[in-house]
Amino acid sequence: MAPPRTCALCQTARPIVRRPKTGQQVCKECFFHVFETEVHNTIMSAKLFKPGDRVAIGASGGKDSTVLAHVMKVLNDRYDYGLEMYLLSIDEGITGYRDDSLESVKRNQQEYGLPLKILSYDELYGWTMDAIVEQIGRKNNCTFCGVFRRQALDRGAAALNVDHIVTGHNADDIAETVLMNIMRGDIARLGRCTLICTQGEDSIKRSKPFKYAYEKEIVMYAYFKKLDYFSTECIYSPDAYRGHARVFLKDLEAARPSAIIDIIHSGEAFQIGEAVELKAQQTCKRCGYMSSNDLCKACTLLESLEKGMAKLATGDRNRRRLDEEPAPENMRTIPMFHRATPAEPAAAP
Amino acid sequence: MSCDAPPSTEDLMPRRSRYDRGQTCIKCKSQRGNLVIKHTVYCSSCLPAMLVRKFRRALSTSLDPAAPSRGTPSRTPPPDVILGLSGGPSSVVLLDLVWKCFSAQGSGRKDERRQVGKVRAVHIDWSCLGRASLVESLKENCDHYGIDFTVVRGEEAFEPAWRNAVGLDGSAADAHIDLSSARLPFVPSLAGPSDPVATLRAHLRSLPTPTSVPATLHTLTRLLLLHTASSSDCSVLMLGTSLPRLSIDLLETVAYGGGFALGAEREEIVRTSRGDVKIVRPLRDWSLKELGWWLYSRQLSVPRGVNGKPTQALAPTGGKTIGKLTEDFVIGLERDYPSTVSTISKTAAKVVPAEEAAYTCAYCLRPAQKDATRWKAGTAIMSLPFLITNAATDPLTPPKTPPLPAEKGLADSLCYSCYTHLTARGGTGAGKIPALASNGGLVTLGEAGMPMPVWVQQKLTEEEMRESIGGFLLEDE
Ligand SMILES: [Zn+2]
Ligand SMILES: [Zn+2]
Ligand SMILES: [Zn+2]
Ligand SMILES: [Zn+2]
Repeated sequence: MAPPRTCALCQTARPIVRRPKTGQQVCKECFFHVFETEVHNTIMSAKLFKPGDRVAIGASGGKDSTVLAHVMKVLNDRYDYGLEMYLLSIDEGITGYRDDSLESVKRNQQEYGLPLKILSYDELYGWTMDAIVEQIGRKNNCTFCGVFRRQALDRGAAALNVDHIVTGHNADDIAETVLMNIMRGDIARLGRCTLICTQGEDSIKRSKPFKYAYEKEIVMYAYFKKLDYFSTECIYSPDAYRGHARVFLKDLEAARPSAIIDIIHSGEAFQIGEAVELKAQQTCKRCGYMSSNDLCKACTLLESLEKGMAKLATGDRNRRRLDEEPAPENMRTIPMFHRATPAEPAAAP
Repeated sequence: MSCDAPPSTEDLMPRRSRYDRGQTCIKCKSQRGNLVIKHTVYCSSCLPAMLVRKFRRALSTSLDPAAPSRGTPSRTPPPDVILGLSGGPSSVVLLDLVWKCFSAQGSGRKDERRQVGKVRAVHIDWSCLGRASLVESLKENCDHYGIDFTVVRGEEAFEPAWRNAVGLDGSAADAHIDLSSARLPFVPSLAGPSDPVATLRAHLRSLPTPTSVPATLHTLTRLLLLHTASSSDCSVLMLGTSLPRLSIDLLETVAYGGGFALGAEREEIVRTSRGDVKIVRPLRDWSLKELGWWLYSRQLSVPRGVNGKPTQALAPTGGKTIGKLTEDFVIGLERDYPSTVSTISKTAAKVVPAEEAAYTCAYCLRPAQKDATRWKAGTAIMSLPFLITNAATDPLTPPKTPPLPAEKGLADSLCYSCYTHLTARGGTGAGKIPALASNGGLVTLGEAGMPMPVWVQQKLTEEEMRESIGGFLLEDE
C-alpha cells in the first residue's frame, strides 16, 4: 500500500529529483520555485538592494555566476527590485581556461540583454596569470589572483559606476570558510565570513545572494534550465588547506545534507560587525586605491613581480627584504576608475 | 593540478621540527629529556608537575583558587564534585588525578584538598543498547581509590519515576511529539506506561538520520550526569574530555548548527531545577600522548576494548555518521599537525556569541537563540503552503521570522542543533542502524508519536492543550 509518489511540495506532480538540500523528492517546477524563493528570501532578509541600485554581477562564465545572472534577472523582474544590472568579467589571462569561459559570458550577455564589461589583468596590471605563474611557480599564485581579482572587480565596478557587486559564492564555499577559520583559529575572519554583504571604504558593496544555495542545486538548476556555462575549474592550484576542508564538508553533506547550512548557521552565531576590523585606511601612494600601507596590496605584488622577487611577497617577514630593494624604474601605475559622485550620476551606457 | 585535486599534506601547514631546544629538559635544564610534548622536551621528573599544572589550570575557574590557608576555617564550603566516568583511558586518568590532587592518601597539599568537598563518581551505563558493561571494572577502580561509585542506567532518561529522583515536576505527563510536522507539536500519549528501555529505543529509532543517534546519546549522557549531580547537590561535574576529544566535539557541534553554544563544549554552567551545575573538563588540554604517558608512568590499566565511546554498537550500515567523520578527520589532523587540534579548542575559547540567549533548550539545557528553529524554514523551504502565501501575498518576508502556521510545538523550545537532530533528513545510511531495528518494546510509533526524555515537558496553556488534542476529543467539554 505504498502511497503514489508525488512531489513533496505540491503533492501533485511527479517528482524528478531528490533535492540535495532537504532530501525531499520534488518536481521540476517546485525545485525552481523553492530555489529562487530561497535566494529571494536571502536578499530580502538582508535588505540587500533598494530600487534604482546599479548592480554588477561578477561573471566568470562558471556555473555559480551563470546561474546567479539568470536568477537575479528572474527575481528582479518577478519582484520588481528595480535594479539596473550589469555583467562584469575579469580576464585573468589563463590560456584555455579564461578564453573559453569568457565566450560563455558573452553568450549569457546576449541572452539576458545585460551590458557586459570585461577587464583584463593584462590591461590593469600589465601581467597575465600565465606570466605570473611562469615567474613564481604554482604555489602561492592564488595570493596574487585573489588580490588582483578583488581589485579588478572594484576597479571595474567603479568604471561601470555601480554601487554593488554580487558574486556567486555559494553555501558550500561559505561553510568551507567557516570550517577553515575555526581550524586556523582566525576569529576575525570567522566573525566576518558569514556576512552576506561587506562594504569597503570605497563604498562599493559586495554581496553573496547564493549564501544559502547549495552547489549541487546550482548545478541542478543550470542543468534543468539548460544554462550555458563553462565547467572547468581554475587550472592553477587553489589554497590546499581549503581543499582539505572541502573534502571533509562533502563527506558531512553526504552523511546529512543539512550540514552545510547548519555549519553556516553556526558561523553566523559568531558574526561581528565589520567596523571592528578596519584599520585606519589611506590611499595607495602609487595608484590611489584604498590601502592600509603606503602601497596597496596589488601595487606591492606588482612591484615584487617587476623585481623578480615575487616569491618573497607572500610573507610578512620577507616584506622588509623586498622593501629594501629600490623600485624598478617606470613602475606601472594601475589605472584607477572613479565613480561619479551620487550627486551627478553617470548616464546609463 | 586542478582545484579538485586532494591537497598534498605538505601544503596544509608548515611542519615544525621535532625539537626546538635540544635534548635537555626544558624545566630543570639538567636531566636528559624523556618525552617531547608539542616540540618541547621534558624529563620524567618534570613532566608530571607540568601535567598536574595543566589539570589545575583548567579547574581554576571552578574551584576557589584562593584556598584558605592552614588552620583558617573555610569561608564558604567547597563544592561537592561528581566525576562523570565513561570508562575510557581519559576517565581512568581523571580518577587518578583527582585522587592524587585532592586526597590525603594521594599526597595532595592540604590547602589544595580544601578546594573540593565530597567527591563521587558516576557512570552512565548504556548496556541496554547492547554495549559491553563497564560497571564492574569501574567499580573496582573507584574502590581502589576509595571514591564512591554510582551507576545510572541510560534508560532512566525515559523512566517517569526518575523525574522525582532528580527533583523535576513529577506530576507532568510524558511528552510525545509528532515528527511529521515541522513545529514538532505535542501529541497525546495514547499508549500506556511502557518499559523505559523500549521507550529509549523508540526515541532513538525515530531520529531521522543515523548521525542523530550518537549525538543524542551524547546529550542524554550529559543530561543524566547533570541531573544526577544536581540531585546529589554537587555543583561541579568533571568530565575526562581530552584535547582531541574536545576538538572533535567542537567541530561536531559546529556541524550540527550549534555554534551559538560552542563555548559550552569547553566549560558551562547549567541551571537545573535544584541549582547550578558547572561542567568542567580538566583534561581538555591533554593530548593523547600525555594521557598515554600518564597511564604508562602510573601503571594504570584501562578496561580492555574500551575507547570511551558508548556508540560503537550503533554504527549505521551504510556510510559514516557526522560524529565518526569528524573523529576521523580530527584524528588525521592530530597525527600530522597537532597544532590544528589545539587551535580548534582555542577558537572555541575565544568566540563570543553575536547575541544574547533567548531561552534554554528544553532538551539539552543549553542557551538558544531567538527564533533558533524558524531560521531554517526560510533558508530550506520544506512545505508549500508557506511558499504559496509567501510568494503571492507577502513576497518580502524575511527568512528569520517566516510566517509559519501559528502551530506551536516543541520546536519553539529547542536549540537549533537539537531541532536539527529531530528534523534533518536524508543522507547515507538513513534509518539503517541494526542494533535499533529490532523492536523489543510496546511502543507503537504511529499512535504515540516520538517519546521524549522525562525532562522534556510540555508547557502549554489549557487552551493550547485542548487545541493540540482537538482532533481526538469526541465533543466539546
Ligand atoms: Zn511539485
Ligand atoms: Zn596601489
Ligand atoms: Zn626536568
Ligand atoms: Zn538543545
